[in-house]
Formats: sequence, structure tokens, C-alpha cells
Amino acid sequence: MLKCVRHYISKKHKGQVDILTEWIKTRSRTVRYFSVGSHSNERSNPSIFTVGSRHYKGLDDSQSPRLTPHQVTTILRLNETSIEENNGAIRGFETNQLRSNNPIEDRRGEAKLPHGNKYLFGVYDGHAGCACAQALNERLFNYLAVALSPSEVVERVKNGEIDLDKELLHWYHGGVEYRHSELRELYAKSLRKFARENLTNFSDDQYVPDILMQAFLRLDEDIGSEALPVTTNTVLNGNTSSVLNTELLTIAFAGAVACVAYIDGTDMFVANVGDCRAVLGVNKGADNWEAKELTQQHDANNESEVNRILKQHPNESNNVIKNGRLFGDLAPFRAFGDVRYKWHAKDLKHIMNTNRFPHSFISVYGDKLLPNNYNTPPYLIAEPEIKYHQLSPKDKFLVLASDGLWDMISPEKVIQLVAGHMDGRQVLVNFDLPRENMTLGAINQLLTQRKKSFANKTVDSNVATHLIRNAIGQDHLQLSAQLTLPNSISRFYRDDITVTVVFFDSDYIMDNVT
Amino acid sequence: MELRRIVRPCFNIHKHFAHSALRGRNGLEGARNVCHRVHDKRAYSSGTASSLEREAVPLPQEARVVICGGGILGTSVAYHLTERGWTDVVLLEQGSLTCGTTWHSAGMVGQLRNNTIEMDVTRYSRDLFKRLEEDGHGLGWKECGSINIARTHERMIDFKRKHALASAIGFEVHMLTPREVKEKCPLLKSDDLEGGLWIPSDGVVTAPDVAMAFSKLAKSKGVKIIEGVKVQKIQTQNDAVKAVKTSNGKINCEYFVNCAGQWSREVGKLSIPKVRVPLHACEHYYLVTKPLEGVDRMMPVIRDFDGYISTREWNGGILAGGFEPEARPVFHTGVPDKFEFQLLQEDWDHFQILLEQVLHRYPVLERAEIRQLVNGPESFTPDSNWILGESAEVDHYYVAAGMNSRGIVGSGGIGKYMAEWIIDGQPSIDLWQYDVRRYVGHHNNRQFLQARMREVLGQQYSLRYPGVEHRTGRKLRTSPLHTRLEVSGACFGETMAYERPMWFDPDKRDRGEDVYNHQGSFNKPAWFDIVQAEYVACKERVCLIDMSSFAKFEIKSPGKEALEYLQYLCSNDVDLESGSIIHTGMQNVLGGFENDCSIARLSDNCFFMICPATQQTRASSWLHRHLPPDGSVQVRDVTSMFSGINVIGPHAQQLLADVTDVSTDKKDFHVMTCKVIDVGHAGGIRAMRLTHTGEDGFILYIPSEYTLHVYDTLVDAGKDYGVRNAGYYALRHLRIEKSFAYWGLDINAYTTPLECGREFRVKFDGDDFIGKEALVKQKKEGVGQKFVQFILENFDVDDDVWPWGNEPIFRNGRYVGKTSTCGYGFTLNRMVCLGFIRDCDESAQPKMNPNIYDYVMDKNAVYEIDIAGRKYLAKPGIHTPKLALSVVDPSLLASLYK
Repeated sequence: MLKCVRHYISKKHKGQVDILTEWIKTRSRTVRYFSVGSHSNERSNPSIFTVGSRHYKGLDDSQSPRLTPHQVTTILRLNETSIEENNGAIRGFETNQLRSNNPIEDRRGEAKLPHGNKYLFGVYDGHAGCACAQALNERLFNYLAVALSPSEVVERVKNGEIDLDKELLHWYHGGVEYRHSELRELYAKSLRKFARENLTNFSDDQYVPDILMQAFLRLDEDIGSEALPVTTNTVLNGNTSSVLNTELLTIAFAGAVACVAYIDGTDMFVANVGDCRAVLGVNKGADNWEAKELTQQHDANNESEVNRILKQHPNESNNVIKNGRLFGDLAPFRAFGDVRYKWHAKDLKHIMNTNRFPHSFISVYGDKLLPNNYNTPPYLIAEPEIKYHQLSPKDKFLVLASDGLWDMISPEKVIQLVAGHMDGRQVLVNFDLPRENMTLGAINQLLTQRKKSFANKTVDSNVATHLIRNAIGQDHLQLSAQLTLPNSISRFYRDDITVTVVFFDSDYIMDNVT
Repeated sequence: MELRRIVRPCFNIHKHFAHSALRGRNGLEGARNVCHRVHDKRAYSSGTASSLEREAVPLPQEARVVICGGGILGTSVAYHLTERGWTDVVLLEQGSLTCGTTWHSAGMVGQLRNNTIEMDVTRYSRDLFKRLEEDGHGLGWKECGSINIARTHERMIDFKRKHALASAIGFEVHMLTPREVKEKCPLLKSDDLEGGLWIPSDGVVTAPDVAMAFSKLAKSKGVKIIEGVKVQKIQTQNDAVKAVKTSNGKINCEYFVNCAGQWSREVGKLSIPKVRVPLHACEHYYLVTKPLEGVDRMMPVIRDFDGYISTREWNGGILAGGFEPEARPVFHTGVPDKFEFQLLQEDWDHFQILLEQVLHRYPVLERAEIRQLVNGPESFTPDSNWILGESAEVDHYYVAAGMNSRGIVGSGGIGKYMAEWIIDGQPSIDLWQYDVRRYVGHHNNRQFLQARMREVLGQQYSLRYPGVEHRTGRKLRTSPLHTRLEVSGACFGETMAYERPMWFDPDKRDRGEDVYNHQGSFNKPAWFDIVQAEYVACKERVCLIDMSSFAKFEIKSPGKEALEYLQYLCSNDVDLESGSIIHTGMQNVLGGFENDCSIARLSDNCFFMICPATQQTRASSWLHRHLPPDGSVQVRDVTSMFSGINVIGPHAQQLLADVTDVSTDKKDFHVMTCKVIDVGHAGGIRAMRLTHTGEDGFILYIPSEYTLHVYDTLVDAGKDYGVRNAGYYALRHLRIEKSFAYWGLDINAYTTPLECGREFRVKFDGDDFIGKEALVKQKKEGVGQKFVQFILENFDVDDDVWPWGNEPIFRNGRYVGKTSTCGYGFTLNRMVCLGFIRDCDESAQPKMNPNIYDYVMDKNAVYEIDIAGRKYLAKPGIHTPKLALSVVDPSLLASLYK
């Protein structure tokens, strides 16, 4: 419990530490009286205590919220970011994350390409640890930037003449925090190589989806090849430390799905690998909103994905998809990393043989590192499905989120919540007569419009926080319960949630749509 | 937060405009314009000059009366004191006259109210305004009349009730059809109306001009009006006013009058002891349009209650304001000192609900342009009645505040009656519902006030059914049985913040309905059958009624002082054997009931006194004021130490016998005696053999911590007797049917024991007591009014509008009085009304009649009671009808008249 709370306290939020520290103290005195059992009790018998009702059957501790509303809000807002951009089609964006795993396995990134009004928004959802998602966050935008930038920039990347974090990309909210400085060097080396090859094949009329595809595939390839056993490793040339080696293996054996939106002027491309989703909020007039899905989830619910795998591995239908998972184990059917579904069996066996010591990174897999009947790898691909969308003035915002959100609320509901939030935010500002000599009728019309918006007035000014709050709880009691779940069971109630909402400037789009 | 909301639109002093040639008939409008735009340089500069050159009046060292506050109330009180010949008066204003809230008042003068007392006040004000205008004082009085309009059938019933009462007292008011409404005000949309009420003598004034006229007149008689002086402390000696300390020095005085408007609550804290003035400011809106074609200067004031709005003509445009259902209190941390001629930041979103209704009622305003939206603070009180009278805490400390936006129309009458109160010690009419002593401590709690204010503002216009409760600030004072009773289905009503079960309806609770708020009706109430069942159980079996809310006092002394003290205060003989109980009034010098109580003599020098819950502050004040100065008598308010359970009904004797050791047999435990007994395992219970309704039974006053035990013991033991809970409505119906008067409802400080058939409780031959002289005189000369019970003929209890009090009573076609309380007589099977009727001479003045009984019971007299426009024949009675006592043990009858 203590650990989980401390996780919320990031360096950026020292102001809130006091509140939480105090809370931790109180919890540490009382927490031992509560077992996991009291939680299951809470779920099975939730109606005894209804918040806000006059008639409750007494103040039973196990039915009482453990956090105050203020604490809930503090926790929910710890990771929120709000950027006002007002450049091109992008008015701004808001993001937030709420962890369930400890540490969180989701990552997110937002960056601008300094050359032109080009934006990248990414959401990554790691599994089997956060290593692979972290690597994607550190690297994928660089690969995309190299693929998307003019040749002179790529040239400088190739020559190592460019500060990747400042010049190649403009990162928002401080950019990426690298996990390992030595890896950073290695990554830069791989990127230079990619830049070199990119220049060789450079042409002006390349098709953007192909470019995106290329960057995605190349990164996954690099993740795999960098981690390959020394004997076959061409990048490291056999002289890396074993620590680094283990780190690379950890990344490659972990996995992550990714969803990236690339917006250039009014052109929007969404590249998706796995089960994150990107949904567009389209205003069809007045309060009528459409939730337009720009992604398909690559999992067992997606018939074409199932067919694709079965077609690629025609004689393994009994084995390759079990219980809706790849080899009965992996839920997404496309992902970065996860080399145990990509590498040759002999490489995997080599890894097993060379890492048979306690606490090695593969110990979590036990004897099952190599799936049964592993005959025709690769079973898993990092090939993105890419959707192009020309922004129209009706497109008001884009929601990118990991499945932690979509598991809790539907895309339609998400779009409604964001639309309502936009509406409600307007009334946070006091009404002033827009001009002199207005008639009462005209004033009343404006006020009536605002009045509708009052119903949508929200607690959170950040829309991502608003979505997360609505996703995890209907009332304070639920929110408090969700946010105080012990680490051991939290994941049974919800997944990590990452939400990024990008708002579009309809006026710009109107003027620039071709 | 609060301060940020305040705008400072105005730098000049308004009074300048009230007198200057700039005015014309739009004086205030002119002032406002400048206040907000500061365009008119002349006005701006001269205004500033006048504030700098404020007349320097030296502060006197002595004055008879010091009035704090130079608004409409303070100036009116000053003026009326001079009218009565008291001119040694100083009025202190911390800023400038009218700078608080008077200056932004809309100035509507609507006289029609739902009770004659408030109409005495408003009608006087209106007549005064008219007279002063005619005398050339320039109040902006315009007799345009007013129309109240109704959108619903229920509102029309309310109108008909008011129409009946007003017409009876000779106030001109007419019912209108929607078409007639439209004829009188063509701009108005009338097709959704049920009808209207036309009050031709109503009008409007320019509010600050009224205050300036009062002040000028007072000044001319010698009142010193001093602006820019802040009251800092009200010094007291022996809990009486001694001096007022101000920012400019000290004034020794006999009387202090707190007319500080929204600052009154704070001023109340400036004395030791502090004086409670529970009021709180709320945002209060109106808008003014630019001149509009078709707006007649004499357009009547329109009150569209169901749309929360009222309107008047203003400088060729419309002024439209109102009382939104959900108000917004302001100044949570106190009103800023320098809030002079200032408004609050207007919030259009908050005003929209009113704007929508204004546009609905006046479609023509869609095209009107806005001149200004005004959001001024206005103070409201927990029950939306004025706060008037002498404080309970400090002698000679008077309060007139909490106008609930009825300040202008109230000002004249309030000034008059306050002057009477100060000079005569009592006003000439019963102002109890506005009396500052109607409050207890919690009413002054700021959090409570804030919560209650949200609701109170809207109540100025919302349709208020009889018996409907406040929804905010509830569940505050509760008896130890509260939770038990709630589970048993109690539906609560509140008095003095005390939650009392009114009736029991477990189904209502099971349906998930709010048991603290009840759907109101002018007709047969939803609780009828339930109350009947409780009534029957009280008469035939045994019931338990929570009586904890009653105010309780202990009075004791080392020697005979307590007895002597009570003998002086009580009109009945308190010198009984220990263990006896006596019903007695405490009269004022006029013989009226200051209090009506039951006193048990626990021992020679220790008395236990029970009085109505509403008396808690008033009785305490009365008792303390008359304490002997030597400190020999101790008076203690023990209301919270004891809870009360009434065990009522023919089986009460046996039930109590089962759970206590003492004999409850009538020969051992006499009626009107008190014993300290054990019940169950609990002890120290003061058991009194009496009920307040004539049934046999006991009231157990139980040390609070034993209450639950005693209650559970009685419930367990009572199973075989069919014991059940009953509420206050059962009690009320029992006592109305028996013609028992209750203090505060039927009798008051203006009615005497002889007038309500209680001469048998007056010790004419005993010791002297307050009011004896008046009562002796009445005994000799007769009384001018008599308490009468009326039984209605031809009343259809299911379909007719019920009487709820304040219905006019006619004798041979002539108005002779009004009902006080009414209820259905479940034994008589008739609707029963109580009330006083007067024997008046030609000039409508009551005349002393030694044979009032004959006057009332004259076989040839025809009585009618007008209920919402329909007259019912009524049969008068002065004594309890025999039938009403039918189930009561005959041996008890004697005790009723003991």
C-alpha cells in the first residue's frame, strides 16, 4: 500500500507530497486491519452504503471511502498535462495517465517536427513489464522523424551532428527520460544506421503510409537484432557489457503495442499496432456527435486478424490461437518486442540455456519461454495498420488511449464526455455582454445556450483527467476504492490508463482543406 | 473570493441626486447611471465634492436613543420617534445615508399580505408615503396600482384567501380575469394566466428619496444625523444599554436601535452579551431596460409569482427583478465595512432564470435593450420575516433589520411600531412573528444561515402551502428518540430547529420519500387518515408522543424567593403543595399572555416550568428581566437536559404502572401532580399526570440519557395495550376539537385569560402579579374580544379548501375576527375553527362588553367564515363541546378546569 502511493509522488509534484505523506501515515496505522477480503466484500455488497443518501446503515469502515475527494483529485491529476498550441490544425492537447501496474507499463509521447506543422502523438501499452514500451517511447518518434524529415536533416542525423532531443524533434513536457544512458548511445548508433539507409533510398515522392510503416518495422527489427545472442549480433560486435545485454534482452522479450497519430497540416495518419485505439470526435451538428474509429484492435475479436494468422500458419490452427490469445498467452496479435514469438527456436533455446540462473529476466517464463509447437515463427508482427484521414471542420478532437480506457468505457461514451467537457469548460468563465446595446432576447439566447453547458460543468479542467475519472468511478466511494486497491489485485480491476486528447482548430481546417 | 465579486462602480454620493435638480422623476435612475458609467462629469465632480464637504456634526455626549444605520429603517425609526415627541435621538451612519442597500431598492410598495398584522404595517407605510408626497417631500410616489397574477389554480386559491381577508378588513382589492389583467397592462402576455388580483392603492417610490425625507423630517425635529461614524461597541451595564462607543467618541444613551441592515448581525456582536441578529445577505437582481415604446408611466407593478418576477415602469423602460428559486448568499466572511453605494458583480447566468420569465411575460422586451443589470446585496432571515423588537440579551437594545426585500414597504409601519415599542415597551399590535426573540442560538450560526438563505429568497414569491417546512438547515436539534422515530416512519416538522414528529407514515419512508419535507395542499391533507388513526389511538388506547422540544426551566432559591418571584410573574397561584402542577399564564401589564406554561413545584423552593418550544428565548428573557437584583433566585434553561414523552390515552395509567414502582392509580397519582419516578431501570424521571389535550395520561420528563431506555421499555410493555407512536397533528386535532388555546397560535401578548375563558386560572384574590390591574379592570368592565370555537356547517372535508388560519369571521355579515387555528374534529365529524371575535362599535373599535358571552352566543346571530372566497355557516361555542370529551373518563373532567 505504501509503495503504491509513493509511486504517485513524482518529482514534479512536490506540492502534493505533504498531503499524501500525511495520508500514508494514517493508512499505515490502519491498513493492517483491512485485508483483500474486505475488498471482495465491498464488491459483492455495494448497495449498503450509498453516498449522498440520507439513509445509510451506519458508518461501516469497510464501506467508507479511504481517500478524501481532495486526495482523489490530487492523485488523478498527478500526471496530467495540458498544452495549448494554436498552430495549424492543432489547437492543443491534453493527456493524463493512471497506473494500475506498479510501475506503470503504459507510455506516451507528444512531439512536433521542427520542419513544418507536423505533429506526432503516441500511446504505448507495454506488457510483461514496461521495458519495451519505454524503448518505444525513447525511439519510435526518432525513427519516424528520420523517415519524415527532409534529407538535409537526415544527413545530419547520419553524421551524428544533430541533438536528437532538441533539433530532430521538439518534445512536449520535457521530452523523454531515458532509462539507461548506455542504451542511449546504442540507440543513436542504430538510428544513424537507419538514417544512412534511408538516405540511400531517399526519394521525394514517397508515400507517407509506407514511410510510417518502414519506421515501425525497422524499429522492431532493431529491437530484436540488438538483443540477439552475441554470436550472431552484428550491431554490438561482441564487446558490450553483460548488463547492457540483459537490458536489451529484457526489452526484446517484453512487448508493447503502439498507436501513433501523425498530423501534417490537415492530413492525419494513424498507425496502429495492437489494441490501443484512436477515435475521432466528429460533430454532426448541435449535440449530435459521432465516434469515428480510426483504428482496429489487433486481437482475437478482430476476425481479419485471426484469419491473417491462421493463413500464415495454416497447419497450426489448434495451437496458435487459444483462449483468444496467441499461444494462449498473448492478447494483442501485433506488437513490438515479444521476440519469443518472433525469433527462431534455436535463438530462444540459446537464451534459455545461457540465462538459467535465479532472477534472470526470463525466470518469469519458467520453462515456457519457448511456446509449445513453435514451428513457423514469426507468429507476431509489428506491422502497423495505417489509416489516412483528411481533417474536416467537423472533426473536433482525436482521442488516443490505451485499452485501459476502452475496457471501461465505449468510444461513443468517450466522445460524449469530451464533447460535454468542451461545452462545460466554456461556462467556467463569467459571462460578459459581448457588445453594447444588445436586446434582452439576444442576451437570453446566449444565456440559454450557456445554461445547457452548465450541466456539463466538470470537476477537472483537463479532459484526459475527466475521462479517467469517469472511466474508473461513478461516485467518490468507487473512485476511492479504485485508487486504494493494493498492487496485488489492482490489475484485476483495471489496466493502466493513458489518454491523449488532441483538439483541432476548425477555422484553420476550414481554410486549409483542399 | 467575496471581495473579488464586488465591483466599485460608484464614487459619488447618491444623496446628492436625491435633492439636486438633476433628478426630475428619474432621480435614482440618474444617480445609477452616473454610479455605473461615471460619464456625467458634473454629477461626478459635485458628488465627490459633497462627500468631502460632509457636514461636520459634532458627536453629542448624551442622547436618549442612538440609532445605528442610516438606511430606510434607521431614518424611519428616527422620524417616528420624533413624531411621538422623542427628539433626543442620534442617528449614526458609518458611510452616507442610504449607501448600504436602500439606494438600489426598486421601491415597489405592495401592501397585500397573507396576514393582517403585516398589512397594518404596509398600509400605514403606503398612506404615509402618499401623505409625505402630497406635503411636497418628493418621494417619487406614484400610485400606479399593482396586479398580482396567477398561473395556476393553486395560486388562485392563495389569491382568493388573501382577497377574502383583505376585503374583510376593508382593503380594496379586486379579483381579475386574464382579460382584465391584459386590459390593465397591455404589454403583458395573459393567455397562460388563471387570473389576477388588482390592488389599486399600491404604488412605487424612489427608495432613497423616502429615506432622505425621513431623515430631513427627523432632523428638523432635532434628531442629530451623523454620517461617517462607525459604531464600535455598545456598552452595557447589568445587561442594559449604557453607552455607544464610536469611531468619533462615546455617547451615553438609554436606548440603542440596531438598524444596520446587512451589517446588523455584525453590530449584534459589538455588545456584551452579544445580540443575535440572524440575517445573511444574498445576491438580489433586477434589470432596467432602455425606454421602450408602449410602456406607460402609470403601468401597474406586476408580480408574476409563479415566474418569480416583478416589474415596474422605470424612466420609460421596464425594471424587472425577482426571486429566483435557488439563491446565492454572499459575504460569507462578513460584509466589508466600506461597501458604500456598491453593487456586486452581476452574474448573467444566475439571472437567466429570471430573464427568461421576464421575456415570457413581456414578449415585447425581446427587442428591448438593456440599460443595466443590478446585483445588489439584500439581507434575508431564516424564516423570511423581519427582525424587530427588543433583544432578549440586552435591555433597551432594539433591532429593526432583516427586511427580506420588503424594507421600503415595511419602513413606515416598522418605524411607527418600533417607536411604540421603544416608548411604550410594547407595540400596539402583535408583532411576535417578527420578534427578534423568536430565534435561538443556532439561527445565528453562519453556516446555517448560508444554507437556509439559498431557499429563503425564493420563498418571497413561491407558493407556500400551510404546514410546509424549510428544506434546508434541517435535522439540527433532535431528541434522543429521533433515530428510533425516523425508523418508525416519523414525518418531521421543525420548530425552533427542533425536529418533531408530526405524524407517522412508514410507507412514505419505504417509498423513499423525504420525511422532512411534505407536499403541501390547501385542501384535505395527505396525512388525514393517518392522523385520524393516531387521534383514535390517543382517545381509545395509548400513544407515545415525543414532547422533547418543549422549553423547560428550573427556578429555585435558598428560601421563599423563588415562590415570591413566580407569584409575581404568574397570574395563577403557584403556592401549592410540593408535587403539584399548575397551568398558568405570565401576563404583561396589559394582562396579555407573555407566556403560557405549566409549573410543577418539585419542592418548597424548586419549580420546574414547561412552556411552548417557541418560548425558549422569549420566556428566558422575561424570566431574567424580572429576577430580583439580589441574585437570590436562580433560573436555568434545562431544555436540553430533559426529553419528554407523552404517554397519552386511557391505557396510559396501566401501561406506566407496568414499568414503574409507584402506583399510578388516580387516587395515588392525582391529576396535575408530579412525581419523580423510576421507569424500567432508569430513574430521576419527572412524571406529570397531565396532557395538553384533556386525555388522561402522563408527560415524562426524562434525563436525556435515559430517554431511549424509557421509550423502549414503554414500547415493549405497551404491546398488549396497542401502544403506538403519534405525532403533533394528533395532539393538535385533539386540542382544537376541545377548544384549547395554544400560546403563539391562538393566544398571545394581546389576549388575556378573561378573553379566552381562563379567568378560573387567575388569582384575583391572591398576591399581586404583573397584569393584575388590567385583569381586574377587565373583570369589572368586560372584554372586547372572546375566544370562540366554531363548528362549520356544510363543509365538505374531502373537496372544499380547508381553513388554515387567518380566515375572516363574519357575524351578521360584519367582519368580527379571524381564525387562528383550525382542524378536523374527528369525534364531532366537523371542521373546527378557533379564533377571537370582537364586539366593535361603529368606528370598528372593540368595546368592553361585560356580557360578551351573550354577544357571542346570541341565538339570532349568524356566523360565517370565508374560506378562499366561499362563506360557510359556523356554529359558535365558548366551552369544550361535550361530545368532544365523550371518550374521556368523566372523573377527569373536573381537572381540566382546575
